[in-house]
Amino acid sequence: MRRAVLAWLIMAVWAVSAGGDHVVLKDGRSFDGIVTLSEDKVVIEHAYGTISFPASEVTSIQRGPTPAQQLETQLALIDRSDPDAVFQLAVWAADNDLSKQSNELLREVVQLDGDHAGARKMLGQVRDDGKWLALPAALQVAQGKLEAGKYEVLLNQLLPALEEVAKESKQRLLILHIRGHSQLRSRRFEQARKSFELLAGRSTPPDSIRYAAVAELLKKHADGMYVMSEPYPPVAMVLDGPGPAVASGPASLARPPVLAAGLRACAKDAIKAARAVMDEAKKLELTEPEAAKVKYALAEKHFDKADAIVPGIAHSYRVEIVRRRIAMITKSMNVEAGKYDALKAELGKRDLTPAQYGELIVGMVRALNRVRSDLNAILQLASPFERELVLEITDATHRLQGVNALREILMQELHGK
Amino acid sequence: MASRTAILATGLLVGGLALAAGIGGLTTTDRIQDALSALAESDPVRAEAVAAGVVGSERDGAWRAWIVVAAARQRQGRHRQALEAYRQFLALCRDPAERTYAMDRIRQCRMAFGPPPRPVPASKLLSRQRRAELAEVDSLQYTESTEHFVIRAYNASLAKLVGSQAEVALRRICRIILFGQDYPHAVSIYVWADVAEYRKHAVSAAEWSGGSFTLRQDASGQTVRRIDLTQRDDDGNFDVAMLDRILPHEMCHLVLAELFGDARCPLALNEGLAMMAEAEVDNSRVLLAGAAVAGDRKIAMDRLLLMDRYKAENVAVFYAEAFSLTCFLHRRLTPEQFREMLAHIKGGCPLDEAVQRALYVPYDEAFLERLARSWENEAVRQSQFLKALHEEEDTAS
Repeated sequence: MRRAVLAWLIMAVWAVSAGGDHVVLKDGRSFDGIVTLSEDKVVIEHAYGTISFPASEVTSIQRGPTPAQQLETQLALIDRSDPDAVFQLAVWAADNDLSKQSNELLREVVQLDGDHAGARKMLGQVRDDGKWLALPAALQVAQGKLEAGKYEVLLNQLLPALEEVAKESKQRLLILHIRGHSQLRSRRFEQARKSFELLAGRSTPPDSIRYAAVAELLKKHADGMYVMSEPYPPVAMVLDGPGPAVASGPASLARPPVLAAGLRACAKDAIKAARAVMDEAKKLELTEPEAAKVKYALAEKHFDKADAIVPGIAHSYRVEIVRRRIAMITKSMNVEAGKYDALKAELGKRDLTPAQYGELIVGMVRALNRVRSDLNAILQLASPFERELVLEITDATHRLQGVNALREILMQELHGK
Repeated sequence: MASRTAILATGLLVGGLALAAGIGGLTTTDRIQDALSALAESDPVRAEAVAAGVVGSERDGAWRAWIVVAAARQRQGRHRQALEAYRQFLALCRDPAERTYAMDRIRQCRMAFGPPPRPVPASKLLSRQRRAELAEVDSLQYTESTEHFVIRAYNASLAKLVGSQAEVALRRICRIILFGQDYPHAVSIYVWADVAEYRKHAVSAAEWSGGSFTLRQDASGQTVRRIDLTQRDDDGNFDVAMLDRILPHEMCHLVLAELFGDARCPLALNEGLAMMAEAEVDNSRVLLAGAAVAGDRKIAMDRLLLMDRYKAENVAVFYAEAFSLTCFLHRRLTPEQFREMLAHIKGGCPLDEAVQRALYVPYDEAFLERLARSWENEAVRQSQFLKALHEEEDTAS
């Protein structure tokens, strides 16, 4: 014990001296701190800040021990069978950027005292049902408890403990997610709303959109009662198999299928809004294709929202938009193909000078370039939907091959090969 | 009976208030949630008592518990009292979706305690004498007009009857296809004395048909909407099928043609809807559809939906399955979902995609197969049920 106290006093002195280097200036003054040399300057970092002097003013620099050396010294002085003494050194090591050594010491503490809460916490472990768990395992346990309906244990014990040890933002979001759902399922609607608002603010799309939708739903139905206009899931009424999980009528948002039904209704609203914009776009396709394109992009934003809330719900509409945009491109491409055909017809008709002939060929190449760019645009649009748009992709690929072959011939002709 | 129910309801309300007094520490939200739990646990009596207590407390937001009271009463089969509770809820509710739900439930309650009389096909109401009168053919063509129809027939009384039955059929069709919307056009109906006259005058008469419809633009750009029918059968009797089946069937085709415009409506769906529009269900179709899907004469659903013509050997199965499938979809989907499904088919979606869009669910490639299986199961079930019913009737007689 006396050895531990002695070691601790030395550590304290070192902490005050903030390192161990000793600098003596030509004017007789001296400073302690961590010294670094940069070109013609000597920089001293100490507990109160940083000062620097020209190298020419310095008489001598006496190097002191590094934090790692200090730690080694102290380890030799303490009683290694005393978990608290080892733990104090582990804390010191962590504070002095010696995380590897700190972790080793913490594990040593845990070997000495399996229930050493401080060491376990610093190792990122939490206690659940008398067992210490690493953070990833504890998060899994928390999710299991959520599904098992153990909300009180979660909210009062496990989640606060997890919040203390979780450092990464992804882990902290997951904890907040579990907290929000635990609050919701245990009918703490107002608290749940606040948690989902936080989640919406801290996460990125599509998660943030979904969390915002949950928060909005809880704001709108502050008493947690949601009136289901139809049974959920809706396919249960159409297809044979297990019946609906929830019948139509008033139901509690604390029940996961009711929340899912509420979210589906939000997604449905987003789809309806998107369809209205799509209808406007369809009307503009012939007369104002650029405006139609803008409208389709706007519709896609609504579909993004719907898909964020219920993944995949807008898929078939996205395919439809791509199909319609391909039809629009094909229309403009056919105009260019017509120009190419007209120029080709000119080739055989007239008695052309070499210059006129060259100009015609250049014109044909330009028309083909535009067709090629349209075909590439089609392929780019269709590529996320290879299965649904296999015909469009095959057609565009074949046409592109044809256009490239024609272009090659024209280029050879142009360069007199 | 009514007074006993009223006493029970009052008792529940008083019980609810007593319950409210006993759980004074709980918030309105807690108590509404308790009521919802009871409802979810199939305990409508407790749900009603708890919710009635919330309503009686007159705290902020307590009025919302009326919908729990209403649902609990409806689940107990107390439709009149449920209706009253839905009304109370509607009086304060401002949420459009919740209002729509409550109004829909009020309709359901009304239907439950006062279902409309089952419509009787017009032909069933005709005496022998009346049929004989309707078979008479004058030399003059008479014209009769109704809200949507102008009827021309060689029998004044028949023209009147066709007019009234056309309106009845149109209402039925609007309910099935147009989700209750009105059909805003006028249609000419021509009733020809016999098949020979019909074939001579009808604009688009198939050789075997006794009725047809026309939807086209005339030379002046006016849209011609017309139905041609036949008054008498081959034996010279009044053709009752014309009233009950052919008139609504052709009218449905006309409405669908107008609704779909240039878009393609699968023939099976088109014919299925037209058969649904007929005045009564032809059970032989139900029996045949069940037998076909269970046996080797089945036209698989994917093929059925792609057929745009049928051969003589499978025409009966085609019609039976088309009717069965369309009825299945109409029964399983809500009216709004059915209307949306038709709109998506009109927009170019195949049936499975149209149904999934109407249900607002993520697209599932296996959906068509699952839908086909569910329909086939139901077709077989219904056919077996009818068969058993017939056997029972035979035994009884």
